[in-house]
Amino acid sequence: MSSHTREEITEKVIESISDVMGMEPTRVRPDMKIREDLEADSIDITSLLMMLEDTFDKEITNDEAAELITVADTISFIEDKLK
Amino acid sequence: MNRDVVITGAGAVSSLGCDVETFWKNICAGTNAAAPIPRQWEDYSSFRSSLWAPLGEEARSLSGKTLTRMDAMRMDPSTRMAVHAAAQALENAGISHECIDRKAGQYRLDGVDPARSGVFMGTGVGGATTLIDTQRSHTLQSPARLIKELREGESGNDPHRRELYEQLEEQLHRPKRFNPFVVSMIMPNAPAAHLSIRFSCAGPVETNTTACASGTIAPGRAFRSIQRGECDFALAGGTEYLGDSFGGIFRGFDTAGTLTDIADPARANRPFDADRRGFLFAEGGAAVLTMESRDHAERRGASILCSVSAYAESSDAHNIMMPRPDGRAVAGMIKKLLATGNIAPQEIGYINAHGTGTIANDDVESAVIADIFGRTPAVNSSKSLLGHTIGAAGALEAVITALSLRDQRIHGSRNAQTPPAGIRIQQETADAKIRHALSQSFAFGGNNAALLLSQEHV
Repeated sequence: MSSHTREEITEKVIESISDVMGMEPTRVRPDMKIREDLEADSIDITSLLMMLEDTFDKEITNDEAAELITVADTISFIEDKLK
Repeated sequence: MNRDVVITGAGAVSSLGCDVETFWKNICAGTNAAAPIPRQWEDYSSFRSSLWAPLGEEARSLSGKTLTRMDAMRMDPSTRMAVHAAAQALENAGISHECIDRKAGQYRLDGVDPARSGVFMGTGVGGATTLIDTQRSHTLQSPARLIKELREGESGNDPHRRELYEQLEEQLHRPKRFNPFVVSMIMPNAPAAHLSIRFSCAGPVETNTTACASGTIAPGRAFRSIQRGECDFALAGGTEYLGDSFGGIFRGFDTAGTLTDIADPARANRPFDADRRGFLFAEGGAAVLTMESRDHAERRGASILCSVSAYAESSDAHNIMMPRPDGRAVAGMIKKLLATGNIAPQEIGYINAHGTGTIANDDVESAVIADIFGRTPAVNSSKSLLGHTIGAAGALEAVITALSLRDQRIHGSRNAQTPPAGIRIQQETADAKIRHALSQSFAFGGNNAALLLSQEHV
């Protein structure tokens, strides 16, 4: 059972994205596509995965990572991982 | 025509402090960095030496205004310490920096032309500990899975066997993830490259890997580059991190018989003493100097710590791990240094020696100093306090030499109770009149290098 609420997960995912992309957290919305809207390149995606693995202490495989299109996808994915 | 070169700022990360003034204060206080090696290393081997000079938690987890969480994941500790030392040196030199790209973590230095600024860094082993950690993750993935299966299967009802499997899993020390940035973390030019990117230094960017002389050769090359007009400003120094989780790097030096085997932390580290038994291994450290042409420094109204009067280097061309017994290459280098700087031996007031504490080094070094300088200059070993930081050593010692000239103060050389008769060891920290000082390093491989630094205001 996860000790994190969805709100806590959302806050930490957005914080991780804003750290990697060097932008204010307020600019990151759940409906945004990570590659297209936030303009993340492959190095950014790799950095984000490392950041999420470290933040939530969970391993994320390359196949799993390929499914993470939007910020909301990522939040839901982490929520499932922590269950 | 050669240009005058000056040092305007210094930064240091070490076992004796993570900011340059704390570092200098501890050096002058004679603080001893020696402490027992990590207990877990003894799971893998028994060692002849039982001590090292560990970095404190602050140095291991540098963060805050200069380093982000992302930096910590993508940089080897040697790079992180170099960035921290460089940021200090810039602040010390009165150079502010403005963020121009938050995502890239890039800054532009105020009053410094990016195209005319360079980076010259030394390191002995680069990101070796990151390579060790990442290879552990890579090679131990399969054994770890097998052990887990065995633990969960056959030992299910046997507490003793389960405990043995748990111990085995623990001893694997396998990092959970294979770091995808490993290549850019282990390359020896990573510290210089990160400094170049972070501080927009787009002129010559060089890495020198000459073992224990790296940290002297790098500022020496910066001096030459500025002197010749290739750049006006440089970040120059050395960095090293040697504290792998298994003590494997330590074991390499221990097996070679280079480390002190005296068990008492108060007595173990004794360069230039008759009872010396080898050097004190250090976990790591970094030092960075801001070096500029005099014109550049004066144009921006900088305070000058000292000037660089000359630089020289040579090679023993003798043995991969032992100094040439007759000291010929070292003596030749020092004579060349003095001739280039147009300074007589008796004008040298202070020598920051290589002073490792090995029998061979200190014998050769003291004989050469006695022959060229006699007992005129005060001689000390900063390694008697810090231990040996390999690629960072020369740079930390250059910082100490620059601060000695600034403050007209020479630190005591710890434990040199029975020194060689032909040289004058500085036993206790004391004020002194120093016009010119020499900082020298000798390396495995035979490289020798020396900087001649001079007091700015007589």
